[in-house]
Amino acid sequence: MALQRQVGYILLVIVLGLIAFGLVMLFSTSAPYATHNGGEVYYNLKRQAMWLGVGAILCVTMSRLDYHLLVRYAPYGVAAAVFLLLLVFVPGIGKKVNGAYRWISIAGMNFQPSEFAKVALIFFLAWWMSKHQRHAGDILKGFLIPAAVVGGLCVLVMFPRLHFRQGDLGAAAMLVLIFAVVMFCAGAKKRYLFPVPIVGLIGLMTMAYFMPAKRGRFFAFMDPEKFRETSAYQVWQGLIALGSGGLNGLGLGNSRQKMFYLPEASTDCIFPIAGEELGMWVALAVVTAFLVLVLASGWITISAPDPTGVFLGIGITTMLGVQALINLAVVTSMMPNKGMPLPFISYGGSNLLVCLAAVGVLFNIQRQGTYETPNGNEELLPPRTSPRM
Amino acid sequence: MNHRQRALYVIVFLAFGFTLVSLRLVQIMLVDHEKYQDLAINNHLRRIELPPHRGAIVDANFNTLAQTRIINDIYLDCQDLKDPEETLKQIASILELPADQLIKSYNPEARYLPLRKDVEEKMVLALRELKVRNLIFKETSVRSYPNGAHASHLIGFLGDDNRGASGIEKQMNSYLRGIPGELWIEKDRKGKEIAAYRRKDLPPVDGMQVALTIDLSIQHIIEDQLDKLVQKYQPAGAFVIVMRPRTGEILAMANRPTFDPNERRGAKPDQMRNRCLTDTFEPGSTFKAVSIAAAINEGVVTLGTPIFCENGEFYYGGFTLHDHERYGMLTVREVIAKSSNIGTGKIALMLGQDKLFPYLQAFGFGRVTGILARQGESAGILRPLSQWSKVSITRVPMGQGVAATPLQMINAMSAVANGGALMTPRIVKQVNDSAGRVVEIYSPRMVRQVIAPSTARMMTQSLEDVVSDQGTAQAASVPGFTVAGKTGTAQKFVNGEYSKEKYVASFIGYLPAENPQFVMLVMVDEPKGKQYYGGQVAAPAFAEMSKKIVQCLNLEPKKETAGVTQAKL
Repeated sequence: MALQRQVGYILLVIVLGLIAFGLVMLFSTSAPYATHNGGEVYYNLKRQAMWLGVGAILCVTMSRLDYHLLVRYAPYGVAAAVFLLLLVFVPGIGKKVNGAYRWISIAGMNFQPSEFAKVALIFFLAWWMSKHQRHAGDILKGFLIPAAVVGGLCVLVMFPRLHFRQGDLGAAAMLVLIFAVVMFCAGAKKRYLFPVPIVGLIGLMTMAYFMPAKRGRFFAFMDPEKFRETSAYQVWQGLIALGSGGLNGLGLGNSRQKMFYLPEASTDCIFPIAGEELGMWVALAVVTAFLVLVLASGWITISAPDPTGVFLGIGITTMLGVQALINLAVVTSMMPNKGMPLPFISYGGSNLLVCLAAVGVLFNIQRQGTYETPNGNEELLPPRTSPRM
Repeated sequence: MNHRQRALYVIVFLAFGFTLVSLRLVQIMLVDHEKYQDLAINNHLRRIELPPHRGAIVDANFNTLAQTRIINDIYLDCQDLKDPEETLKQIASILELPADQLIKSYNPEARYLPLRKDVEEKMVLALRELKVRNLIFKETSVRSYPNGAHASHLIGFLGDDNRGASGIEKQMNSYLRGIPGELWIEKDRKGKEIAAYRRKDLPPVDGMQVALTIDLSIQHIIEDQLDKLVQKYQPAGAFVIVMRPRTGEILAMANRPTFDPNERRGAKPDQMRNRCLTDTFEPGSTFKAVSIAAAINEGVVTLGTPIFCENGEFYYGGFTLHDHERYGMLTVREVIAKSSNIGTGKIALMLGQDKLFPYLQAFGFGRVTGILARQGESAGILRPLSQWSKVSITRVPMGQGVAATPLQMINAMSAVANGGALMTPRIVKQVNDSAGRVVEIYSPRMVRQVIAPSTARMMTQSLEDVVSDQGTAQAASVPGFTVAGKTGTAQKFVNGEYSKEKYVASFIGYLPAENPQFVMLVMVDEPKGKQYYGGQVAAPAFAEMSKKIVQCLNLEPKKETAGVTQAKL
């Protein structure tokens, strides 16, 4: 079917559309900050464009490189991720942003190693589970060894500078979620997997208990108005932004809430500003675009030629989809406030880079994918049906 | 169940999540839109009130009595100050501050460095020319009264809420205050205006100018004279009121003790009370003019009617009435000139209390004049006839057992000077808006014709005699003008009896007698020393002031009359 073959194009159009939309909104949200600080109006836009350039190259490269080849190097990827996460601990390279050491700074470019760790983990799980498919039900190979890897990464992500108050709970939760989904698809025993979210939840509660800064955040989402001056300030201002936008919005560039009322207006909270300026229809269109993105990448996943492709695909779909979902759910006050960027739209280089690389991998899977022909036979996709990049 | 099927579950689960988000978005952006819109408006929309300038109070010749000055306190936000040394030098030269000292006090961290207070408009304009964004101007308006304590009771002052608290400031507050303007702006969270979203801009309407009937030069004359009186007699109080009989306009009014509205801190309520309106006194002999005018108007007596004055002792109603000199036969005219108590009492007996009382009311006693509303003006004491004792008919006509404010006294005398027509005393002449257009003009208002013009003429004739070698107030005469007037020396009623030490000395007179241009009351409450008669204390002060006032009012002395007066002297 034509549509089946066009799925790569659909994905491409959605991603390009989201990026373009993101750049417009980034300019709209970052200009007031730049003007206020006496900086250059295009500063953030230029930086984002630079990352976009690197990301585009990476995306094309990944779509050209056979993922079977890449998957073989997955263990090295995990080693690299561990190395990068450890770099955060090196003074002079590790960088503190918003009070947390989550970044490494090389040649003026700030990079968040936890973003890279997500992709490395997806590749590692795909490699491991396709290698040990027959032992997927085992406790050791089908659960404990991959769990150990995830646990190790989580520890590194959560405790930078050996001071867990500055840890990145969101990234750790994301890693666990990717692990759970890929393991589920790979056929791991449910009785091993089920406790994971429960243990994770208990762990999260304990963490929240020990981090007073985050404890308040945790339950504030249920009644943001009550906590609007304290822990739910950001969510509350985000709701005001969205709500005041109404059906048609205040017009592009006319957001009032971006005038320092809503913190993180160009990163985590870019979506409420978009809603305020452009209105409900555009906001719904963005949500729909993410839905289509998930469906398209899901389609690619399901029609992957082999289990490795399925695991990679579902891992990437989860990474992109859950990030978007968490971001949207947080700004609409449907879940506790967890700093999570909106893929392709939020300002931030490492996330964009990783997302673009992941989309590149999806293109590669789609390129090698099998599709049902009208007569019911599965066949490989003929050449040149994926976007030529 | 293979991998792909499981993957499908995950995808369906995710898709479900996005659907939920969409529904939630519709709830926030469509259903609750108005609630959040209000909250957003509450966040950034601000109303800024633009205060109007309070109008000035001026005298009849548009000399300033009260004005609002804008002064600025200037501060410097030292953060991100470009080229601090050079800028500071420029600022210092404009503000006339030592430059090196300013540079020394400069602290790059300070956000609110005070530079100078009370800076005048000119310097502010020069500073604004510099276009240094770090300068902070704090504008405050100050009400100032350039004439200090002069006429302070009349002009009044502002309360802490910048509304008129007394005097004209209170009476005319609604005209003076102006209408505040407003500015609707949108602010970012740092409090800075977002210029692109400025809304309607309504400029303030400045307050109106209120012109009083006061003549500042006359006011200065009476204030200076009061200072002399206070120095000489150390009285408990002293009052001068100058009025124009034809119109009822107050030309000047002053009290002692007094206060400076510019330095109101520490001033006691005692000093700030406008006693000309709030305090009542037994008028004493000045009241005789009123009583005898009633008798003449009723045709009971004429100026020539002889009255036997009982040689100084008149026994009536169980009490003896005394005169300060023993008089035999006096005409009515002489009774007034010599201020005979017995004569006045007998004339009143001839008239009868039922006929006297309505005249006292008609002259305005026992009723407020309403010159300054709700400022404690007293109505005085005029007991109804039912409360009069048997001797009241002999005591009230000579100003005992009745009390009046100085303003009531002068107003009654003014009616005599004005051919018998009682006028409403007026203090506000006109109101102009800030552009100088006339908003309101207050015209003279007659209350009633109290006595016939012919009676008034007769009264003036006999009041002229008071200010002659025949009368009690020779000291009140003014060369070149015929003065008509009446003295008063009232014993103060202390602890149930009339004091032998505390007096109120007064004189009310007007000139020129044939065409009165002003009537003036001089009253000294409890003068210390041996002199306490109205003719001794108040009359000379009257003369001294009148000599100056006739010049202020450009009154021509009459040649032949001047000769006559001088001959009499």
